[in-house]
Amino acid sequence: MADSTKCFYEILGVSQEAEEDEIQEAFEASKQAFEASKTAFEVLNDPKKRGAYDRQKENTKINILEKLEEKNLIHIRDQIFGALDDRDIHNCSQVSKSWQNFMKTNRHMRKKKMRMEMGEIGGAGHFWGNDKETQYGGVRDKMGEEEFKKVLRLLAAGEKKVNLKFWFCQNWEVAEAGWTIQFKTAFIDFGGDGKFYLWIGNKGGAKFKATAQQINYGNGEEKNRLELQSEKDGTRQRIKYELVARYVFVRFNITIL
Amino acid sequence: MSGIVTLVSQDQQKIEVELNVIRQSKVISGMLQDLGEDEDTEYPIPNVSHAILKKIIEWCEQHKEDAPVDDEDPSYQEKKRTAEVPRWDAEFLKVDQGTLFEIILAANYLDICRLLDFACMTVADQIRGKTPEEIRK
Repeated sequence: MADSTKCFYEILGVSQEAEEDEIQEAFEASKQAFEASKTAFEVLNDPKKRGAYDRQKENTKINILEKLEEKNLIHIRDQIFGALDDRDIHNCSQVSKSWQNFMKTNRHMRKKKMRMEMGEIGGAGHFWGNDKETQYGGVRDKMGEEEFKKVLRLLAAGEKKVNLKFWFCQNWEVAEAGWTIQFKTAFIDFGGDGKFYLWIGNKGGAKFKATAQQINYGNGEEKNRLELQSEKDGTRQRIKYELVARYVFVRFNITIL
Repeated sequence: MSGIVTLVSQDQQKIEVELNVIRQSKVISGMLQDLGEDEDTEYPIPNVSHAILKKIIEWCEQHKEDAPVDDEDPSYQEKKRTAEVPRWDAEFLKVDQGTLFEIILAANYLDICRLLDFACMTVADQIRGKTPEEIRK
């Protein structure tokens, strides 16, 4: 290997057992790759040509969106935008201000619709509302998997304040729309260790705070109110709430920070 | 019944396709129900060219075992927002912008919601300025 430090077989990407025609093929391929990189260099090394190329590249990106508008296929355009974050749209210089605003409105409307379903603060009842006399069919007496999933979808839509309410002996783990809720009971006979634990998070592992309290299932009386801050637990954020009485709901009024 | 139907593309070319493959198009599926599944009948697809129809059939072939999805289901709608384009589909959709646009139009016209979803996600990825390789890293 005269003055090259790299093995010839490696340069051409062939095995030591390669047939003659394989070697020929590999050479043709690398010749083509070289030609392509020569053209790329010629364009990118010339500011004028490079600018034109960049513009053209941006144009091919935007083409589909414009064409969808031309054809009045607005629902498909919106589906494409729906897959993007506000940040992506903001960063894309080719997306006009009006579209950016449209997207914001779209997101806002979706959140508003979900809020209407679940109340201004998603999830269980508010501090002094709906939790009274839950055994007699209070407005939101129980949260099940469907309710938790709704709350997670609301969080995914950008909501910051939600309420969750758990029955004292339950364990929950629910995932939806990139977010998860996990609740672990404090009671030893249900697998607990003396504290209630609540994990909430998405990929980013956002911190959250919560007002936790116990709610008497009969008269809705509230006790043991505590302001809690989430702590890091592995890749997730978690809050701990001390053991409270049996036959109560444990409610968390949560703010994502 | 042979389980094969003949589709006629915009440019009057005929393509034979298995019934269970093309069922993923809600439009063709509905047409088969309305007109009856008759092997002698030719089903016109006037809005889709031969080349694109072939691509569409290739996609349907790959996905014929998939469980059907309910596009109206809100949990599917949300999942779709956070999902990534599967590897095979990302490769399949690595085409020039004109073809990608034609595929979007055809998937919309034929009502193949998952193909439309993947195509839209591909365009969204392009807007983000990422290639499929970069996204997978």
